[in-house]
Amino acid sequence: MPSDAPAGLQIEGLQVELGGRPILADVHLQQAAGSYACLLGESGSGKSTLLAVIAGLLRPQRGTISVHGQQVNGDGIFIAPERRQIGMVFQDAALWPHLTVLKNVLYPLRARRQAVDKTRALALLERMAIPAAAARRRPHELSGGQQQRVAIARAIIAKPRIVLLDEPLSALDHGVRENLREFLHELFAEEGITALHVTHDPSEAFYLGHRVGVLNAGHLEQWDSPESLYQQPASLVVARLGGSVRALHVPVLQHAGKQALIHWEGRRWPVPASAGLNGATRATLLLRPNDLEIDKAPSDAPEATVRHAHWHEGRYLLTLQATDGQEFLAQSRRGDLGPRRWHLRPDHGWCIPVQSSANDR
Amino acid sequence: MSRLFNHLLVYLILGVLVLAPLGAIIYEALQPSAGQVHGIALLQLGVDQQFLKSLSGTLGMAGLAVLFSLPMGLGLALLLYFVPPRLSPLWEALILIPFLIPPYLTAEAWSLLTGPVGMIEQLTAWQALGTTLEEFLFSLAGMGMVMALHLTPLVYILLRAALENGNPRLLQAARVHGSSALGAFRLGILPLLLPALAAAGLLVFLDTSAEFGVPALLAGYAGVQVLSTSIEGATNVWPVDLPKASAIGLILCALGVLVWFLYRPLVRNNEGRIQRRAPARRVWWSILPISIFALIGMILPLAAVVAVSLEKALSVGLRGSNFTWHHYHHVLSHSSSGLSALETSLRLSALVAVFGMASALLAANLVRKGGRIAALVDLLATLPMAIPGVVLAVGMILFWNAPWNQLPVFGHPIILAVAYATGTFPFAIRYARTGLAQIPPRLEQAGRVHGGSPLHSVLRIQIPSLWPMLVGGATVVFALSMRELVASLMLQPAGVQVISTYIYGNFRQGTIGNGMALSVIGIFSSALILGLARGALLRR
Repeated sequence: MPSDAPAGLQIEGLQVELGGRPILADVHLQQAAGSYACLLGESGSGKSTLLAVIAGLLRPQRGTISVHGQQVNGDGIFIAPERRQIGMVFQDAALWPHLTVLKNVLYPLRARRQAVDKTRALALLERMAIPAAAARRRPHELSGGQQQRVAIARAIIAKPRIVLLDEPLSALDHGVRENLREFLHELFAEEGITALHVTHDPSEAFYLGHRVGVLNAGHLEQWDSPESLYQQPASLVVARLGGSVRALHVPVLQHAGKQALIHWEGRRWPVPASAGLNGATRATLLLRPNDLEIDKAPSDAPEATVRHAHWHEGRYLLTLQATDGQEFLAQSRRGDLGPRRWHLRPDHGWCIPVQSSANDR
Repeated sequence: MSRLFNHLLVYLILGVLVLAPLGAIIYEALQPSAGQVHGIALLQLGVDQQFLKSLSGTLGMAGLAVLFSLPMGLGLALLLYFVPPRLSPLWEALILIPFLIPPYLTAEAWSLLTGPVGMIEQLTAWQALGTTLEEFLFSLAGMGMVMALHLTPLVYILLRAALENGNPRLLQAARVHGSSALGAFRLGILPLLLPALAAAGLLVFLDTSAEFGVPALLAGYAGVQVLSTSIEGATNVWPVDLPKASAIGLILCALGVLVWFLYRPLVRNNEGRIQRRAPARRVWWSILPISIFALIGMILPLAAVVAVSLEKALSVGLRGSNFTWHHYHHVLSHSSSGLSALETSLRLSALVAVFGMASALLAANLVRKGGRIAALVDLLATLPMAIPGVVLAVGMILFWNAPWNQLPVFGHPIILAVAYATGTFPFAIRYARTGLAQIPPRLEQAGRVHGGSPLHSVLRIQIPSLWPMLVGGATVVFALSMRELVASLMLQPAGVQVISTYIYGNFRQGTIGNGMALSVIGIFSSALILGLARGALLRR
């Protein structure tokens, strides 16, 4: 994106309270126009609230929101939902039961007093694999997957500046979900519409999002590429979204740039580290199972005790306990319990500051 | 802007419908009674023997109605839940119909059935039965029984819902762990039923203590006085004593509000947690008690109404030579005041049904938003449930006939529409709220996000989605307005009658045949109009 082009979505210092309870705290994010981004978070993390605020269905206490360079919220400005030129796909499709499929799709055009182009609507439905005959039916006569496709058609027909998708796949069966995920990926890539997709499924977010944000208890923990989210998570909460991980408290001997030298189990280990470590003497070391070598560990490598082993994705996943009592995971071809030697692979592991919000948990 | 307008409109509607008459009553009750220079009418009631007698009459009538209706309603609910007959929806309809018959009509019908020349003695060999029944009917217990017949369907609905809400597994668990059938009932069913029984009792008490028509017809002969007739007397009989009427009204209102506040928490949890259960065993004998209730609550009274509407002379009885269409001809003739009363009732009720539901929808939208103002609006909207019609009528006389009020409402038929709208508002808002609760908020949010203005969303999404509920609510409002008696009697302008006051007036004057003919025409015409209107509106 050229630097002078306006962002598709820009949020600054957003704060939302409901009934005196903080729901979103100081959220900042910037999304490139035409990109597909995902927001990950567990139930109650505030992700649907964030979408409601962007859509104008909820007024924030503080902060500004701009869509394609137009400020829609903040500094005394509040643009009503219907004037924001937004499309939205809801978790349960939210198709109006008293209108036919075609009328549902045409609604945004009628409501915005644009030309009611039935040919375009039918073409869009056809592209969504909804047969023309089904356009005259009521929503309840369609399957869940078809309903969600109609909802997507409704969301994009009026060429919105941004489409918000609130867990659009979570109510669908596994097969339908995979199918629709691929469809969404292709559709939005071709149309070049800015889209913000909320989900609690990391695989969905990593599949679809050029950028992925992680919301935790109202805080945006990280807003980054899927790769960075996996390799350089800002917190344990973010790290967990990439799969099994363990957090260990370790002393830091030295920290420079993106590297830290830690001391653990009688050895010094150079480990990739967050810039936020900033000369701290202790850090949280995040270790995934493939960060450790256990089957070919040198004979002088440190020893840990295998407490538990179970068959997982073609290998044994071992839970090991170090001599200082901390637990970590490793993969092995052998699943026997008892002492095993282990070794930290070069350039593996990730050190973050102890005070990172998620490390408290 | 539109939100502010919506708020102001709802406050105006509720202010005019509920707060204004209530405020007028409170103000008037604090004035001295007629014939007194000083003092406060409300306090002067304390030494008024007539008032104390009326209070005990009201409490007695309402208490007896509770005593009669609870066992009947409970018995019917248990029968239809545990041992329903075949075609149980049909039998259930028979149980519910007595609630649709105005209680004053049931009282009139039973007064025609009983007595030495009543239809029961004309048709049966039991010569003493009619007289015995007449003695019972024209007593405090008889008044309570007429109200119980009218309100037992309500008791049935509440108890049936409580039974359906219960968990059948509790009963099974009790039986499996050693309880007898009765013990299991006590353990698994009775605790669920007790709040519903209390709620039903309070509702029957509330409705009966506010009733005017039944005591107006029966209390005089029974030598009983009740508060509602005392209020009407104080506004109609010389010397007119509006402060006293207001003071008694305030007491009756306070009684209603007290009962209403006791009632509301009891039914709060009773909302649609219907459990799946095994089909009940169907038995034939359960139709016997249901038939007996339908016979005394509906079949005999309606038969009496129809028979009398076709009789030349009451004393001659049910003989071929005594049958005539004369009353129908008279009522339907071009210049008949009966026909004009029917037209007025239909017009006013239709008006109230449309505007009442529209206002209720506005208020329900506001209540749905939550918060303190919403709670206040909800309270005001449901308060008329606790305000007896007679009290409301006094309040409306005081407010709309006040010297400073120059609006041409008092003395115009529109005042009847205002009174009906107030009385039926709690029903209208209940339907609107239930309908709104059934629409997922996302449907409206989707409308807003995709470009619909708030008004567009209401017109294109909310109203079409709510349509069946709105039509249902309008039907109930229409039916309740058609049968309203006391406010109509007290507020109808000179030269204007509605169907209920025509029937009541004819009965009081002894021209019973005309009144009964109009009852039959009224029941059929409103059923026909409602059926056609519902069919047309719901087909959309």
